Amino acid sequence: MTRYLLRRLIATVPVLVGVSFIVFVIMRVAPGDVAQMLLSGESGSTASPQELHQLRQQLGLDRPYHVQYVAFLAGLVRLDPGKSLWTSEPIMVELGRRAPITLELALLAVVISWLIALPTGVLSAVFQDTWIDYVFRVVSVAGLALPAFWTGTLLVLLLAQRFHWMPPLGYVSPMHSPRLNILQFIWPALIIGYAAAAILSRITRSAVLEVLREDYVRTARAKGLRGSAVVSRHVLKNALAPVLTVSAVQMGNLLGGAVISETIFTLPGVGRFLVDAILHRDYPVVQTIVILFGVVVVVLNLVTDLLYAWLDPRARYA
Amino acid sequence: MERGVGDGPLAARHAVVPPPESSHLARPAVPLPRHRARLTAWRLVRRKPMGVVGGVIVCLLVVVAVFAGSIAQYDPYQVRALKRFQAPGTVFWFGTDDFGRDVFSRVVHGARISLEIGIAAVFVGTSMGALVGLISGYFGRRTDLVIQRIMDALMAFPTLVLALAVVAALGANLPNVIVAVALTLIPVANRVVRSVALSVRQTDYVTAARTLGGSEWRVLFVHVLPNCFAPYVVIATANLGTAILAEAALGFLGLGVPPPTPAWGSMLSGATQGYLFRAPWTAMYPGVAITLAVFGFNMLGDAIRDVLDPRLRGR
Repeated sequence: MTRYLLRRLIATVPVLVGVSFIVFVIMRVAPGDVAQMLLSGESGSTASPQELHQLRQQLGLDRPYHVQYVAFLAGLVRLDPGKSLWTSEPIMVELGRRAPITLELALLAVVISWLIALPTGVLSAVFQDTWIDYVFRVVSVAGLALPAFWTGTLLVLLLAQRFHWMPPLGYVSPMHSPRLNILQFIWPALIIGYAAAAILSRITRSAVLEVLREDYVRTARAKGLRGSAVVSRHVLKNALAPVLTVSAVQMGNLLGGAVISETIFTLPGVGRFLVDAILHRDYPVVQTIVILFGVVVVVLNLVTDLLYAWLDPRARYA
Repeated sequence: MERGVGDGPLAARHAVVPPPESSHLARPAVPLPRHRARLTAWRLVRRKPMGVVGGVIVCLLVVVAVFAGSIAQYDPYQVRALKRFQAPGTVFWFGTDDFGRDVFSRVVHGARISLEIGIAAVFVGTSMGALVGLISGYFGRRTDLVIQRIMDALMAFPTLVLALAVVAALGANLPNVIVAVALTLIPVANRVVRSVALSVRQTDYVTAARTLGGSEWRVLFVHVLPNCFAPYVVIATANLGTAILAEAALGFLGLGVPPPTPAWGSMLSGATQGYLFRAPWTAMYPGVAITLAVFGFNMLGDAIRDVLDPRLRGR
């Protein structure tokens, strides 16, 4: 296991370098001039060459690309991505404030996705090609097609018109009021969780179907075990590994979903921070958050692989 | 999660089975009798009902997009100061928005924008991913190593976040939205086509073509490339729904095609931010349109994948 762990850790390094490289290329080398865009603003007016030169110098954009990239990497390694151009506050301080909100939202969404996907996926597989299967499959397909930003909008409309509930304007910490906090998070988490459950339910169904056809399941049935005992003791354990993997990989998409959910439900998380930063052309913040999301996904993939190897020893030698 | 053709034996089958349409023998000498054609259509409906529903939705969408000018009652840009927030009725079927513009006409014209962006992004993204995957899988070694590490990194970003980063750097307009969405589609197409190229390069006829003196590039484009067509079609169809959704999400966040262009995502965004409670229809209809389009393409994509890949049927 130690060798596998080391091998996996080493394999992560080039991906992390690749993540930083891609963000650097998109943000600095892309044809749009950052300084020009910053100075021209929304109005589209052109800035004087002196102003442009000054801003390029200030942002370090006048240096050769390789020097810029090394400086950019050094900032990341030191965990010092600089200050926001909009608020002049250190980016890490702002991220420290907002990250727990996005984390809470993502975790709650994962829990909800499991609560929806596991029962529906297992029942769909056990009752394959019956009305139960068809109903759950339609629910799952609907989750894939319904855009989170639309279901979120409809949910806000429904909650406001039927229950006179509006998303609170400020963030309520769980320390301050756990009840208000859950009330604030449950709706956006439900929206993202349902979207994630759509895929997860299909994977669960597929995995359970596969395991149900194994010889040892037939043996378990032949020795007289009840159907529910076969599923809970023999099928679920073996079917859960791929479900776990997909769920962890989905965390990345949940972060994307958080961008939408936080916007609709006015949650001041990292996703909302990203959208605001783009609208304010706050490039240091944009590149830091994009890299942060990339790194989180890489780390999640690593943890998933390790978890998978722990659950299924065959994976260590693959 | 890749939804297309996977690696291994599956890809190998795509590689070694020659496309039936390339053979003269495979074609029927006379056209199918009408009742046989009807029977085949009925079988398709029985076996792939959701795929047929998806196909019908996609066909309707294409018709609406092509004939938007004739179907829409009014000019989608026409502002009517005295007709703001009119509820749906006989004059304005889907009501009017904050500028008094006809929501129905804007939704109809939005189909054209969504399809334009979706098709362009899928063509660019899937083709680039396929080309890079083809080169990566065929040449292998260092080329493969470098390309695949870049793809690993590209896959690390959540789709929407990557698209947002591109729009942030380039600015929000139609070509940039296409580039942003296309970039997010590259890695999956790359992986799938790479796996096909990897297995095809091991086949005897590729070895024979090389032995006969064919250059690497000639072998690549003449012998390996045609085998990647089926997975390309599967990935492209499956990606269309994803691309339309990504474009709508960018529009919803105010970072898609700029107003007053009638794009579904930005129509929804305007409604949510300003007048959702006053005129819910302004959010309702663009949302239904997005959902139907994504549902249609997803179902059609699933059916095409099942037809080209029977192993995945019913899963």
